[in-house]
Order: sequence, then structure tokens, then C-alpha cells
Amino acid sequence: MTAVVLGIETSCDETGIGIVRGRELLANEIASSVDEHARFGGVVPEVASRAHLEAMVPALERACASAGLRLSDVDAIAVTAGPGLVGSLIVGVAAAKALGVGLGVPVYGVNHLTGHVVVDELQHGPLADPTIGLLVSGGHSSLLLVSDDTSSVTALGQTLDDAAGEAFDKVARLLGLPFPGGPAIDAAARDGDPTAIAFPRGLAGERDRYPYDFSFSGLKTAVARWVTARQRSGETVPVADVAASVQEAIADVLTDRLVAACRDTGAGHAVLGGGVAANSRLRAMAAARCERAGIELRVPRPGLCTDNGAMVAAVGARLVAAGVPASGLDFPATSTLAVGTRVVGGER
Amino acid sequence: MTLLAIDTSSALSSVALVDGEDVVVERTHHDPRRHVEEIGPLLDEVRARVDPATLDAVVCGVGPGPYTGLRVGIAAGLALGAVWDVPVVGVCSLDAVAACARSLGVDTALGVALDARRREVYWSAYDAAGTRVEGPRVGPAAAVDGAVRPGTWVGAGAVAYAAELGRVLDEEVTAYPRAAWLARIAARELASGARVDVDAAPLDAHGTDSGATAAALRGRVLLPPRPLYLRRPDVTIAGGAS
Ligand SMILES: [Zn+2]
Repeated sequence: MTAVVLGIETSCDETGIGIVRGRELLANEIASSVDEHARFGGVVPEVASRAHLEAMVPALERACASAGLRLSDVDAIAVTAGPGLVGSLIVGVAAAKALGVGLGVPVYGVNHLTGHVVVDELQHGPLADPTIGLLVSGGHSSLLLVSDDTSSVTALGQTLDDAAGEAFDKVARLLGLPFPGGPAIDAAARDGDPTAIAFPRGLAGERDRYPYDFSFSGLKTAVARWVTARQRSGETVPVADVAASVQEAIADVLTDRLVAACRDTGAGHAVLGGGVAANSRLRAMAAARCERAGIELRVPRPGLCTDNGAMVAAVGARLVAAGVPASGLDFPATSTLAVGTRVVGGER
Repeated sequence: MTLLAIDTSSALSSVALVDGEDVVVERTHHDPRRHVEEIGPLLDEVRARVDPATLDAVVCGVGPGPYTGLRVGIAAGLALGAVWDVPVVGVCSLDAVAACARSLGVDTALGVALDARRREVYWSAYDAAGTRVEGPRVGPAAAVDGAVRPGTWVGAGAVAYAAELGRVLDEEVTAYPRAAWLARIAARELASGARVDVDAAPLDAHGTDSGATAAALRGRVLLPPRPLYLRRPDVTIAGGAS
């Protein structure tokens, strides 16, 4: 019998409960506190933590109902142990441990970033070995190398400053667009000219030192300077052109590094994940560049790209299937959990 | 009346299984920074003695207390309630300290104070019969209203601010809330027919000011299993937005 795994995700502002049986997705319930953060222009950790505690059991009940299962049918629990906001992670980890004790099943503390790649198995089947994952969201921007050895993951590169989603948020604020910035800029850019303004591509000239890393803080500064200069001289800011040009710069840098990572490692497969994977320009550019380079690109549907419990359950299912030992009950929630950590506290 | 209780509202994490007034088992761990690590082993040790078929309820200490730790016990309690399909109720954690102090023979008016960081205390006051007459509130010890300031104080916060509060009973068992006392309080309430008033507002997700909470909680012992935050969230954007 293939194990039923329940996954809990509370690393940022989404409370996610997912249930899988092997690679079969049975439920994926998400409660988001994004509306509560909108008026602050970013995620407020204490607001997110409070919302997780409120949303946890209702999401658990909805997930069981939509899977047509009882909690007692669950064979293992997987929970995001990091990286993320520590106050938020703690709510999920505490609930996961109690579920494990109450049900008498093993608990796996797993890596959130791995989940963004492995989740695609629920939609498109087993991952190729190796696969390069490009993860872009408000909280992270990373390039990962995932190999078949039960979710063994190597970090190739990451952002040196802002995450891509943060860059969208900050530029949106400069342009008077709402939070979260990603969807707002995507919409505004539709009527804009992506070649109108040549915004900088962070680290473009530093391929030797930072082959797969990203930097977006310079972009934000450049946009601020450009917008302020127009406002000072009394000109109207062409919001659509700025949005399209910013989006072009971000997508260009991300897909350039993705293709380089595939080429250098010989990986013929890539997965795009994270909330920013919903960005239409990023998807189109990644698809075109991967096709030209002979790379098969897989992009999970939006509900599996944003933070969710199914991605955590998917990692758990892979670990259970491979017979990897569980985490025990005293593992921590680690805000800076290293990419290479596949099961927290499981390999002592 | 068999109850499993959890409290992580202070530096002491505790889990207990109580049958009426009798403590079947209680496990504690003292560390202000390891609630989420320790809750697993503590629950596991007590679980061995639990028969879910005869369990009447899960009791959570709902604080007040430092939020990150406080949420650990409540999240765990809510999850166990879902697994075992039993009701989950809350009890003000300060009430557990007061009940413990009365068991030591304190039969006068009593105050409980626990550390609230930022040089403040979480506090509440009880009359000679043990009824909470003020609080829970949060504020500097020196600002505790003289009109309700009782004769004797207990709790780690009272020990730390003895100069401001007055006569302090400094006993190890009254330093922090303990799950066994939460369970005894809930057992008495449930046995006498009390039920959780889910409208015991204002316990909304964003908390509220301490005065309004204290007023709303006057006379209420069994509470919804939701944290008594008493302070609004600090608005600091994640990632240090600039
Ligand atoms: Zn994520």
C-alpha cells in the first residue's frame, strides 16, 4: 500500500495542508493572510503567525473532507521545518508533532525549497535526474540542483539581496500599484513596452564570480531614480512601460541563469516554482529560452507554484517511499535552513 | 473527568494528564527558547498514558505569555483535539498559578505576575475566594493599579519586580503556570456544567488592548482555545523592506 502523507506548510503567509498518496494529489487546502498584510505593503511576521494558528485546524478539516479521508488514514506527517519566518514555521511544526504523537505516525521536518521542485511530480510525474529548479517568490530566489537520490538537493545560486517577489513588491510601491506587486506589475505591463527603459541586469558582468546568483536591489534603486527624475521634471510616469521594462529585466536575469545552470551541469530538465512563476513574462521567456537550448521545462499549475501543503506532502511521500528515517520529535523550526538539509534531525 | 492539558506560555513547557483532581502524569521542561523542540517529547511521554476513548477534553493554557512560545501549546492542543475528536478549551495561564498558590495555603487576596518582556509583566488579581477580579493585563509592575493591588504576589514576574509589587511568595511551584493546574481548573468547571463561551470577545486574531480583554474576561474561566495576546502585533515587514 502506498503511504498517505499529510503535509503542513506555514513558512510565510499561507497556511497550507496537502494530502498525497505517493504521487497522487488528494487534497491541497490553502488559507492565505495576504489581505491582512496588504495595507502594510509586505508580510508582517506577527500578523502571519496569528493567522496560521487561526487557520490550521479548519484547513486540516477541509483537506480531510476534500480527500475523503479521516485523519486516522494518514500514515506520515511532513512539515516545513525551514527556511521561512520562524514564528510562522513554529505553528506548523508544533501542530505536526502533535498530529504525529496523536496518530502514532512518523513526522518528517522537511525543506520548503525542495518542495517547490518536487511538487511537480504531483502534476507531471517523476522528476528527471538531475533537474534544475528555479524558485522565485516573495521570500526566495534560488537555483537548485535536484537529483534522483530521494530529494538530494544542492544550492547552485540564490539572491544576494532581495527576492524577485520582493523586487516586484518594491517597484509596485514606487509606481503606486497594490501589494502583492507581482500580479499588479504583470497586469500593468500588458499595455507597456518592455524595451522602453533599459533597467540594469544585476550581476550581469560578474558571471565568473556569481555564475548562478541574483541581485535585485540595484534594479529597485534604478527604478526609484528613474521615476523620481520624471516626477521632478513634472512628467507623467509611464506606469505600463516601467512595469513592462522591470518585468523584462527580472525575467531576463532569472532565465539567463536558469539556462546557464542547465548547460553547465548537463541537466536537460528544469522546473519553475514559487509564486513569481505565475508571472506571464517569466513563463514565456523561460519556455522560449529552454526550448532553444533543448531543455524540457516543467511548470506546475499556479495552485502548486505558490506556497502550499501538497508540496510538503510530496517531499514526505518521496522520503517515505525511499525508507528515509523520520525526524524524531525534538527537531527545531529553522528560519535559515540550508538547502542541502533534506530531513531535519533525521540522520543522527 | 479525564483531561490532557498543555501550557507553553512561560519559560516552562508542561503537559499533564489529570483525572479530576488527581494528576496521572505531568512532564515539564524549563527553557524559554525551546518550546517547539520540547513539545514533541513531552507529548510523547504523556501520550503513553492517554486513552483517547475516555478523554473528555484537551485544555490549552491561553496565556498571556510571549507569543511564539504560547502558540506552540495551543497549536499542539488544537491538533490533538482534531485527532481524537474531543473538545479543546482554554484557561488563562495566570489562573493556574493562582490555583497552585491557594493549594499552598494562600487564602488572602492574591496577585500573579509573569514576565512580559519589554520591562513589563502579565498580571491578574484574585480575591480571597480565588475569583479573578482583575486582569489579565500587561504593563509595567509599577503601574499596577493600587486599588486592586493585593497583599501577596506570586509568579516569576512578581519575584523579578518585588520592589514594585510588595509582598512576594517565592516558591518554585508558583514561578510558572503548570498544565496540571490548568487541567484541574477545567475539570472543576466542566464538572459543574460550564461550557466555553465562544463569544468571549474580544479574543480576535489581532488581539486587543489589555483593558478591554480584562473587562471581557471578568468572571470567565473556561475560554476559547485562542491566545490572550493583549498587545497588537508589531508592524515590522518581513525581510526588512527598505
Ligand atoms: Zn516558497
